[in-house]
Amino acid sequence: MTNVTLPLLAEGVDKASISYWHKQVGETVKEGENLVELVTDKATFNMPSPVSGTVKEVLVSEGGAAKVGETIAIIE
Amino acid sequence: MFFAERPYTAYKMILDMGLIDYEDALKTQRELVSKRKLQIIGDLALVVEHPSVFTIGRSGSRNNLLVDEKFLSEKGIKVLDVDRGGDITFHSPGQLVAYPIIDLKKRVRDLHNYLRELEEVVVSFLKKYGVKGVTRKGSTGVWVGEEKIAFIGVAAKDWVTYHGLSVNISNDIEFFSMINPCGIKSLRVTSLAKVSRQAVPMYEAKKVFSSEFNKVFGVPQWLKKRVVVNSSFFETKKALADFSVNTVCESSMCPNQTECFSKKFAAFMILGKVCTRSCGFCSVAKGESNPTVPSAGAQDQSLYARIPSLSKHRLLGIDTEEPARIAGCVERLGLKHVVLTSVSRDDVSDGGASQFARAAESIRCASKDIVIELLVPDFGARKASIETIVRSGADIIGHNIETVRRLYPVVRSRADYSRSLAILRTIKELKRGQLTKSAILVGLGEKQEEVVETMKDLRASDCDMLTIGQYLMPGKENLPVARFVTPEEFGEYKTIGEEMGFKNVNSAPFARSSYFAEENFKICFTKSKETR
Repeated sequence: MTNVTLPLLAEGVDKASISYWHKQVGETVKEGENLVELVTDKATFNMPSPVSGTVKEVLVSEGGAAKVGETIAIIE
Repeated sequence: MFFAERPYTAYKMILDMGLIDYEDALKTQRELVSKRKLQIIGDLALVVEHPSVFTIGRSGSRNNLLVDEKFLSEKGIKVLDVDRGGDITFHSPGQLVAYPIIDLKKRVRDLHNYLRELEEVVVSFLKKYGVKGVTRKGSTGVWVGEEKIAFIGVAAKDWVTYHGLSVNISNDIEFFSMINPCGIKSLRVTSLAKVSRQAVPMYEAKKVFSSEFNKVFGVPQWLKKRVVVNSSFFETKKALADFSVNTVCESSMCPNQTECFSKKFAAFMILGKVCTRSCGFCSVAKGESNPTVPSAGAQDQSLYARIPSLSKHRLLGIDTEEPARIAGCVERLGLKHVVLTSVSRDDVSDGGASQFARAAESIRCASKDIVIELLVPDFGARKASIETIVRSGADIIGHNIETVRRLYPVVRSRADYSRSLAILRTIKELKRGQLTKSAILVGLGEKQEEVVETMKDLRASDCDMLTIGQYLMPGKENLPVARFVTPEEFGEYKTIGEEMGFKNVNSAPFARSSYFAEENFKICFTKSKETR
């Protein structure tokens, strides 16, 4: 089981919004494949999955915000 | 006074794709991002124009489109939802659109810093047209007065960027009244042609933009240096001029020059300004001989006539008054640590060693406790010359190996790798305990293992101190930069070097043998005491 946490996207910016889940709960994802799209100011960031597996849980839904280091999904 | 010292530009590829549909350009960007991620291509930027199209970014809403979509589709204008950051914007011919594909992992992993860099490009682009672009804190983009001229919305896949920026050049800005641009109600928009009151041809704008883009993105972030010029800078310049002495700082186009001069530090270069070698990495003037030193008056003439060696010196361009002038300049600047180096003088029988000794003696006479560091050429491996240097009583004697063995024919064609190592060894043999120093420039095409091999060779020659710095093409005639070595790799060399037993390793992008020479000597001196 791997916790996917929100990365630091810019110095001094402690949170970002989730704009798009490329994978939904139950879908399989390969390591390096786009998992989630994050937004901060005028930039989007497509975050690759750190591991291969199945998306077990999505903890922040599209439109929601998360803090740097916060778990946003669980992959098994 | 602030200014960015950035004289070196490694050109990024700019692909001008002309007028291209938004969707096609986006498809191309995605393909390039995949290639960039696999390191098949380097950083680049697409420069395009789009047929009329409205695009809405991830933070945007259709509420910011103020006209009926049906009305637009009748005119053949699409409204697209896209995966960049930001709200709604408009593209049309006459607007310059740039899509940089840049691996931020190789620069700074910071999306907001990237946005600021894009703004910097636009501001310097506008400046070339005499237009003052301003940025606003908390609101990305570039304004001229109260009107917005450039729009930024980016995306990154992992840390490779796509989407980008648009600058209104000569496009019809009336279309912007159909939207709340960037989601801002009644935002006023302008174009370069409008504010500069001149026709701005797109081909020219693209050229100017590309050049400004390269100034910001052509070199990695860690090679951008902000320097403060203070009154000391001008005092240093004046002292050098008053005493008519040369510095390697100026002749080599050193990137640290402004910083060092502002701290009243300079590294002197003796024996003239013309070097008899022709190394590919170095910007010091090259030639077979130096101009003869003019003799001032009749009295001097008779002096030269009476003492033949002086006359010979004069003809060879060896300035017999140079040591005294350097001593005077050292005193004026109040240096506690002086670095003396020279051009190579293969045209002089001792390679110029005696001039080094005379200069060291003059400096020592003027100030007893000063630390003297001599950075010497190879003197054609003449042992007598090296003896002269060792006897001068210098605290540190340096000889720079400059590059790895394999690259000698290209980088130092008239020098010899083994000979340079032998010089360091000879110094130690002649005087046990003499501190020796050498330097390697990286980014000339060497492999990492070759750098480590060279470090081993230097240690085998009992070299005590090592400097490793990034090669930066000082002039158009010099060798191109093969690679920008990352700060992490410089850190690795430092660790490896210290494990090998160097007393001090100064390994950093801007490290040069005389940069922070005083501090490095102190570290070394303390370590020598501890091991004693």
